[in-house]
Amino acid sequence: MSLERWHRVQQFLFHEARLLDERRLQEWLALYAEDAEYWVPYAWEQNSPKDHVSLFYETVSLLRMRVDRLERELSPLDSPMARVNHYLSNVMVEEGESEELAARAYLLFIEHRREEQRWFAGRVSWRLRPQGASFLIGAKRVDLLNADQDAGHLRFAVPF
Amino acid sequence: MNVADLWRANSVHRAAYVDPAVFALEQERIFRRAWLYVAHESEVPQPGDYVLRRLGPDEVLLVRGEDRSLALLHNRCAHRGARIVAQPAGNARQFRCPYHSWTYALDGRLIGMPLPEGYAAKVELGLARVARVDSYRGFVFGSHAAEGPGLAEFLGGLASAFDNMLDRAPAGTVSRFGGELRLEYRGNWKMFMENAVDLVHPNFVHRSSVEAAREQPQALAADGLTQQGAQMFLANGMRAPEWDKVPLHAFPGGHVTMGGFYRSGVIAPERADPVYERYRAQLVERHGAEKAAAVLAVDRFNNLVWPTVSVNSRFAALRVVQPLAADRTVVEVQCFRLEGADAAMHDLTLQFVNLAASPASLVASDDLELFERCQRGLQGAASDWIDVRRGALADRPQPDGSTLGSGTSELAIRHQFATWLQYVTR
Repeated sequence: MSLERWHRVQQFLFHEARLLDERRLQEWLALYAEDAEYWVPYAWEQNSPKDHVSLFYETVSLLRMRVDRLERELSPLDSPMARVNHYLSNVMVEEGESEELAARAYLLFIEHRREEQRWFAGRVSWRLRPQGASFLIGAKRVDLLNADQDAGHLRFAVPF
Repeated sequence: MNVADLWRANSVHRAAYVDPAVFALEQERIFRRAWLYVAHESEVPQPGDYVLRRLGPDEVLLVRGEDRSLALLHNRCAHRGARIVAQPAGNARQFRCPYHSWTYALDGRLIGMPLPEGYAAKVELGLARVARVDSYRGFVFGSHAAEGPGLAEFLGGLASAFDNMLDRAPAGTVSRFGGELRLEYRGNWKMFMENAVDLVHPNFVHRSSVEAAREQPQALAADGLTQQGAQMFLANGMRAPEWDKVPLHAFPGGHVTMGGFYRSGVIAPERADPVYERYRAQLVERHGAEKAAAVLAVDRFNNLVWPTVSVNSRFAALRVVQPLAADRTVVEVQCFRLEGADAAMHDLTLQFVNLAASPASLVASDDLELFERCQRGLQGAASDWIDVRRGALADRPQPDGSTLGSGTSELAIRHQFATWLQYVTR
């Protein structure tokens, strides 16, 4: 892969993170293909969302409801609004046989909510479909290091 | 303050939620007496299989013995008290304490120790057994009390919730699958059991997800997962007159059911889709047309087995409440496979649990938020008494000792506290 293409993928992933951090959630949703899957497993090295419970297993329509709910500012969970930062590192990109690219990164997610600051670490993988000079996300998977812990504390407003 | 003074017919003292001394008393008088859910037999199918669970204040092991019988043992070495097993589940030929290597058979008998010559006589200690263990058609419960009503008597009218889940399986049996979701909140355990049968809160607490789903009417006609989510979110938007048609039924022992939910056609309309039609045909094959229709017509959403279990027969899911402290609770959410049904039916169960009960759920996350706000608010002494009298005038006692009330009544909370008082005062 060319350095330029790797750079473009990385910039795209940073852009996604920035949209989440700045709560530009409609713009964030627009990065996703209509048939995309957003998955945060609930078990370490979970094989499938079909044979085990997940933290998130959502279609784009469900993500749209999630975003819509946050934008209405009616959710008691999100009042006052949490502030978040997504840090991505160790970005690697692979080209496959199809047009789609597989990207991976490490995630550090820091959230300030009311009087608490919490952080989560994880590994993220994306399936990216080239679209012009940019990409559409076909699938995103986030494996949190503590996915299988007593996870009530994983409640949060903004997705990973 | 005397614990008997914490509940007065229609109001409860905030100490019942926030006082650690009340929590300690509950542990002794409720959680060391009542039958508490442990696990399903399908989780320990083979000799040596075990699961590690909480039973009230204690950690216990449910073990399948060589003779296939079940033993419920305290996970605590008889020697110096170390926790023996740290894996949530597994298969073992024996249990060996990692500290001084005391070794126990699957039924808890001590079968080995170093330096036996250091003792004057043979040591007869073993892993302590929980006083009573029993299974209701595969659902295993334990009680720390040697005396008291048997499991069937304890379950009373709520045994039907387990019966209905089993009747919904074309092969007549169910088995656990799909792992377990665990939700932790910084609030009292009773809040979960009260909220599960509080039908006034959804319209307010869940308004953000109701309105978000209303924005996307096309989602109702979409693929399975999206449609199921939209139905679930929209159902919380029913108005009070509709919720009133969801009767609450309070049974002796603190148990409560909430019926009529699916009849509204909102959350789970009986669509003419191929998956559902095939499932219905399988049930007709098992039960005959008449009984199959009756089994599917049972439309209770939450079936609460006091003090800590919520059964959803329709989606084959259980929620089990584990009180950890006055202000700390974990809810375990478990899925069951209706044996004999197609995989598509199991997908519905898993999706139901993910959508409704994951810590990231659009629904559950707002509920947990409110429990924490209540816990926080109740720390303050603005007023000591919490009023739960709504609908009390419309309670309808039945000849069998149960009580019916409308969906918007606080009957369930009053009923749970009446039972609570019986336990904690003696």
